[in-house]
Amino acid sequence: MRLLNIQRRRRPKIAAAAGIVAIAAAAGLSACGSPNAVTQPSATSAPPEFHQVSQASGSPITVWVDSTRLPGVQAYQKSHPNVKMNIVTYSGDANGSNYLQTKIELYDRAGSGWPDVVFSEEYNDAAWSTAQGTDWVAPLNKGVVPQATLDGFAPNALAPCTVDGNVYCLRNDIGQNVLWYNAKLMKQFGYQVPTTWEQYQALGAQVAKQHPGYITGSVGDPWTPEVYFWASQCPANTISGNSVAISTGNANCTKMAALLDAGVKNGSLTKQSAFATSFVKQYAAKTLMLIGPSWYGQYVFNAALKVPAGQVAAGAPLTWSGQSAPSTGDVGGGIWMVSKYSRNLAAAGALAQYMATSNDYQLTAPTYPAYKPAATAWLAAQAKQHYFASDVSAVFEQAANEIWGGWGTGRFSQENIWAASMTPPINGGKTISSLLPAWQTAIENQARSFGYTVGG
Amino acid sequence: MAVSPQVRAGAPAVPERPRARKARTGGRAGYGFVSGYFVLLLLFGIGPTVYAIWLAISNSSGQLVGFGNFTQVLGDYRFFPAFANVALYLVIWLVVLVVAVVGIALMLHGRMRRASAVSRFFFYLPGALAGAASALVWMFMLDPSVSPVAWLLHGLGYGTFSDTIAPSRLPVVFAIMAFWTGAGGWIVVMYGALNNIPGELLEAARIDGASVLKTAWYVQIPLLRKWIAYMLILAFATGTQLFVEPQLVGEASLGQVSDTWSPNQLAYEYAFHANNFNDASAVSIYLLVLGLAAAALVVFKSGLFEVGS
Repeated sequence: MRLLNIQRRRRPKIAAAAGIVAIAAAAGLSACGSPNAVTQPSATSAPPEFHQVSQASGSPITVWVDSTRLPGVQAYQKSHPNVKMNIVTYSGDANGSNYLQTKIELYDRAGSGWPDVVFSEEYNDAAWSTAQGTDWVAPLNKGVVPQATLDGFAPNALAPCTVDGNVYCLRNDIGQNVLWYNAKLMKQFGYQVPTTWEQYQALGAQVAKQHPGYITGSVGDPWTPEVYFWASQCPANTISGNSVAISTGNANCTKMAALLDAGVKNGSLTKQSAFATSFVKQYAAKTLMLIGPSWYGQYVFNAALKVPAGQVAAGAPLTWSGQSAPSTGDVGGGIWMVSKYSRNLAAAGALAQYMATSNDYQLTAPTYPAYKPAATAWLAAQAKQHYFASDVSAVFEQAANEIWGGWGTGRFSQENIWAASMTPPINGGKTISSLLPAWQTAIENQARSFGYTVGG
Repeated sequence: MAVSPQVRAGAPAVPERPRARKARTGGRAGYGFVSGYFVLLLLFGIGPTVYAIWLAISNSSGQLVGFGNFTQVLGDYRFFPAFANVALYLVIWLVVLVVAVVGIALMLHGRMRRASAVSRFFFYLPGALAGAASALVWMFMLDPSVSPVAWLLHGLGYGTFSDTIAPSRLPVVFAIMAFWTGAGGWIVVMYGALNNIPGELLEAARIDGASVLKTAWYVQIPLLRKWIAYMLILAFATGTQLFVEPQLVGEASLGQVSDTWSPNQLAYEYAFHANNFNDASAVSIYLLVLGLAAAALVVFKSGLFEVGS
């Protein structure tokens, strides 16, 4: 009996040992290549020359959109019954879900299955979509979308889409940052709307003393770097080809960090995200100012905080006193991409162009159009809704032109880095100034892991 | 020679059961019944494992690279933190699982037999909820501004969701989630195992004057040993593969949980963010080896697969 047990027990051991030996032999003895270098995919070399796959006019196109953009695509289908469309709703890659890249890389391995037109809420998706090895998008300036249309986009709006002079996506909207404020409260408290960062900081200190509990901004959102550090021209995301140069010790970064620390300390800046449920409960009626993208007006103040109409207004982006060229950051902004594998590029390109540029759709969109003629019409339509205390058109247009061009578009996400490595210690009581070196390390590590060369 | 496990545990020796007569005829029909499952196992279990091993020892051009991928991921700055996170989580979750599941099963079996069918049903319910759905339930539970147990969270000094999911608290948070979804099913299994213990044994213990506690400690728990080992192996394997909870909590908190918190997430990051399926496979092979080693340890220590006794 016992002998039997031992034999029974030994057999799997022998099998396992044999297996391990076999694997080791395969692995160790016959090694001849080298592991995948972490420096791929490479962004330095442009995607290979574009050759269309054989076209079949009238063939159906598969379209991936998020729920926000879905009605627009459905309307297009209704007005273009001759275009055969297969519409798929997905997350739009929101909040770093990375769904699109997951799927595309599986299709790459399978060699089929790519959608024809894709909307992504993350313009960063253009970076890997155009990088050698994972590229799957068609250059739209090569006969798909007219050059005149491409020229109509706001300055820098197509920068994330552009590699070596070719345009690989159309920007749907931009999220230029402005100074949102509650005009009614400002008047009631007798405050002037600040125009410089210095005035903003001073007003924050005053609010903390005179009206504790009211806030002038938040440092809890993942896009905190894009709201404050991008506007301050902090070189934390300088990307050129395949190299990244980070310097969070630069004066443009440290003075902004000091400003934020002062606000957090006196309580005028909250550590909560404007999208946290607790924020809505605590600050719905106590948000005096909030620096953020153009879409905050409708999404945050109107939809989430439910601030009544006629109270919210937008001020021009803040500048440091003495700053010659005003600058602001950008939070989000979706893109339309067309697959280079599409068998009906004409229909796919036409849809992408319609969605990004036509007044028909963009007038109904909740976000600021990246295409200038559509933006003008959109602003006029917004003014008719009478939600804002004053017309935001001039401020939006000014901010759209002031987005600083020194903040790159990488295959890694600055928002992910900030949220995972900065937000928890800030919540734990550390100052942003003291965390700047850690931020630098986190960005560099992440950049390296995506194959970038890190320089000083 | 080794003492028999029961003697070692100090329990009265179990009377040897009459040896089960081996059905030697009809063996072929058995193969027939198993074959359907076996084919699926081969296609979706063994096949992918072999493919992963192949990917782990080759590069993207299909050349063999030996252990190159393994040393490369070992040098990744995210590798050790991910394994450390999961190790801490496992310690908490496995200890709580064993103590609570065995404890509750014993209570149900001994003390509240009448109510136990209903309780077992309720214990099982959360387990029937899919992992993602249960994680979503927990997001509400853990957010002090909407949680039904907000008073408790406030009492602990957590004012916001970000406070609750501060990095140092994550292993505990995930262990609670895992316990909530996983423990109920195991309580039902343990209860079934307790039913298998012959009544005469417990009666003999009672006659010998053993208290309820002593009966549990010296008779019931030693006889549950194999079941506990079985639970440990499976819980360890699922625990090391933690993915859904950190991923969802990370997305719900707009990224406050690192997207490489657990090794499985790191593998996912390699495959689908860096397009490096080879390194992703290397991480998965590390997990496989770890799981096999832990299982082997438990199996050989507990004599799980011993036949007869």
